[in-house]
Amino acid sequence: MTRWFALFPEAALGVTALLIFAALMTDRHRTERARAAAFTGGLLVLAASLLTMGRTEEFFWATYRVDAFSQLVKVAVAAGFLLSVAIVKDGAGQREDARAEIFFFLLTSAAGLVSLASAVELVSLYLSLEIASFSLFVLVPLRDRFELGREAALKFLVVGLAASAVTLFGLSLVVGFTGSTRIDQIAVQLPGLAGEPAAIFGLALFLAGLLFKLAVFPFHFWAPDVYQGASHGVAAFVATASKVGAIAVLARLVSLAALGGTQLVMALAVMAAVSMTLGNLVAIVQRDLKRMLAYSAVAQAGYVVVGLVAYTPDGSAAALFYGLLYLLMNSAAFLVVARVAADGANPTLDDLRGLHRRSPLQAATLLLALFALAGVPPTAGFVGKWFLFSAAMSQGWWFLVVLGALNSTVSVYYYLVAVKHAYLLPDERNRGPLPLSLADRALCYALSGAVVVLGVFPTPLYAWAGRAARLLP
Amino acid sequence: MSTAPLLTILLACPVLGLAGILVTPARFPGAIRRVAVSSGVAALVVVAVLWARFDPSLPGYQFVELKRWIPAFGISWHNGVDGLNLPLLALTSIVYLTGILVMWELEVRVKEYFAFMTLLVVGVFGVFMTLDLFFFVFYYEVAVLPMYLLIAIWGSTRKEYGAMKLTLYLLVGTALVVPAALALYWGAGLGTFDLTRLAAAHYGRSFQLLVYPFLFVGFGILAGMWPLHTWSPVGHVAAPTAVSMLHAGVLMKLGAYGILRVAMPVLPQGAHYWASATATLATVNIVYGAFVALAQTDLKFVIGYSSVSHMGIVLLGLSTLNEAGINGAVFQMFSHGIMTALFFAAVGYIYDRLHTRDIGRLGGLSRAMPLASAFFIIAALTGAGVPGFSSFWAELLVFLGTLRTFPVLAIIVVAALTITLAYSIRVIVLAFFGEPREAHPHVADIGLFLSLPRAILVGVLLLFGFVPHLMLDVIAPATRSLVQALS
Repeated sequence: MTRWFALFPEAALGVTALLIFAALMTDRHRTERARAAAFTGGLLVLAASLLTMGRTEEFFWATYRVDAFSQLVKVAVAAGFLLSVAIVKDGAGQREDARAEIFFFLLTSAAGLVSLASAVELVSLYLSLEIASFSLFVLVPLRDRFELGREAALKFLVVGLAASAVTLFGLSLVVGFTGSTRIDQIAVQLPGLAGEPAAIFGLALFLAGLLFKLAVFPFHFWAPDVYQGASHGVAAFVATASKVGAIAVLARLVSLAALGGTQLVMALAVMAAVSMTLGNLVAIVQRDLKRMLAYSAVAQAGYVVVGLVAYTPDGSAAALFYGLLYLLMNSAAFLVVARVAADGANPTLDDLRGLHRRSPLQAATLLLALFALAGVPPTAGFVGKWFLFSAAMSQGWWFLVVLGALNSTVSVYYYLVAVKHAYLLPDERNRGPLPLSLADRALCYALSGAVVVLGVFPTPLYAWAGRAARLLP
Repeated sequence: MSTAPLLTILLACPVLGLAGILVTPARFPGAIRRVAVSSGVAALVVVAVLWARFDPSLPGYQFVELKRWIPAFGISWHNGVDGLNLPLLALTSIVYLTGILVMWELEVRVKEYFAFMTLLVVGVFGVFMTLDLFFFVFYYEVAVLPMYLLIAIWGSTRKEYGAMKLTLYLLVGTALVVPAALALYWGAGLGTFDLTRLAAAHYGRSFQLLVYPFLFVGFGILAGMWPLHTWSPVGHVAAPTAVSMLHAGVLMKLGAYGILRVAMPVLPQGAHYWASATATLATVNIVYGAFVALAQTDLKFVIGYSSVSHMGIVLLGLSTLNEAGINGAVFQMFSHGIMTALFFAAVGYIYDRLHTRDIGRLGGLSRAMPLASAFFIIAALTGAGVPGFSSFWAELLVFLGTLRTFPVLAIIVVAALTITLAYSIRVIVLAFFGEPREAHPHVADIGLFLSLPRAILVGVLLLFGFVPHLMLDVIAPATRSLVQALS
């Protein structure tokens, strides 16, 4: 019976859902209560994931696997959920009658990501993916008084559904050829099917669903609109927890891609190259901060895929490690974005003007977060990219490494433009100081500290990611 | 010999200084300055101890510290000193301290300024002491980045443009270095970033020929290599005084040091194959920089282009691959660092008081501010290679080295030195003698306190000008073993 204890995090999710649901039933202070419930529940999930770290169990006819890999991802998802809840705060920017509901749907999306981490079978994987996505389909349209938000919501829904259809079609092909939906059994079958284009095609289509979630070129079109159209907290969740989940599953599946022959790996390499280049180049011309972060996310997804195409344990470990770092640095960036535009409107670069005077702490947090995204030491972004590029170089993908390194330089340009607005340009409107609540201050210090400390002492976390990655098929 | 980790202590000086500055509230600028200056003094003291305890007769590295850092990647905390980096550590500590003193009058955003400047110095010290390729690149980028803010916030003439141009150029350099570093790691197959072990690894000839240009150009950009030097004058003109001092004085040496410490020992065949090409580029640097300096009207642009020219001498010395040339190159790195720092410190004072650096609007300065003018003139004479200052020996050695390997280039370089002399004399005569071209408000000559940092720099130039063997005794044994390893 004790083996069921391995499902603690899932149980905690259920409890949290009930807590939030109860909070939503109340009449007054719904948002505050739901937020408190989400926060408590998030901590529960986090603690449960950490507690079940050492366990390895399989459930439900071996479709659901709990191991060090899945639990690490669950820790990350729980942390991302908590950070997003903190960023949502009072739900500014969301429709007023639907603010408390943010927490509920973020939780269901997190639940999808949690089960995604454990799914070792294609159908459960697909279902988890859908749960994670559908909750977001609900949240994005609930943006308050923002025309572009509707368009974003519609785009997200239509493109998202198309992606699921494609994924499902790919699934059917894979199942048809291999006769199984279990990843380990497919892995056994695949080498024999190397000459079978339809099987490879099916696998590619299945991967497309995940690449959509990660916003890798050519599946990135939704990202800028959704980042811009969703309210800050929701966008933060899409940009952090959701990304980590996608990276984790991609790490699981990319070994299949390698078994499927060189074409798939080559295709991934090309996607990585185009993602990095396109994301960074288009980010340069953005004025809307969230849109800029969206294109930067497209580029970042490209870097992650650079690590994954190495399809070595080192590469998966590097991708996972980078995913964890990305969670921290992007949360820091979104936190500042959300607080600078506390009224819920979308901040532009000009809104950052004079930030160093209005709130030195936020300016410093933004500085560190952007430098980390750019991959500049001593922040964690540098080691993260170093590991990714190192993995790619070990397999001889030197042109991806050179391209990635050059792209980092390009990205520095637009990150520095943002830093310039925060640190250099005077604030013409002479706005007053921008005070932070005690919790937000603590969060700023914690995230900045983590970004620097992990940049200098990456070993423990990387070793953790490495142990997890070695469990992958 | 004591076992105290002197190099880590040295690195801790600016790190603790940075921490101290960060925790001091911004409303106490005086305290922040004092924290900064004490970290500068502490660093200088530690370097002095290093210098005193350093034994040139011993082979290999001294004061070595070796600890595992990221075992999964063979990255270690590995520091050490030999005759090649000891002078550069000394240079950094001198320019760091004098730079803080020069900026004593700064009133705008004091806390942020000293914080970024100390961070930059952390990076520079790190590069000069580490023997691990990962940390080399790590510190290298740490040193590059604060530059953007330092120039963009506290700079002058076209500061935003200059800052962005400088940052992007230097990062393109690192974008070439990072893939090359990873290629060295996987190419050796030793699972280590330890430079001493990579230098002993055997790389195939074609690998060496392919990777060497990545490293040379990547590091060369920071050393002001023609035709990728354009960031340098623009950036130096835009930067505030102490940042110009640190940048032209110390940061450009990081590039040359990267070539000397990473590219040449690890890829000797590459160095030999590309030597004539790099020597030619370096000669273009010297000649082109000198000619362009001749045409400038802004004092800082003159210095900026003279730096391009002088860094060409360093690159040329490295390209000779013989003892005299490399000795000269290292000596030149040191003495050019001190000289340029003095240059920018002198111009900084003039600009602060007269708010112009235009030669056409100055003139007769030596009468109004004799001491401040003297500092500039001494720097200009050092730059022109006048005997009695340390650059003379450095340039002489590079010239002798070049004469042996590239006689034609050596003759061109000597011819170019006359142009160096010409632009130095031109600036001195036009700006400091004759009648003032425009009426300037009467300004006081430089005070005793502000002349202290400049006087220190002059003292160093004279010391090594008259007693060059103090420096050469340290450099020469290390160069000898490097040249043996290269052949």
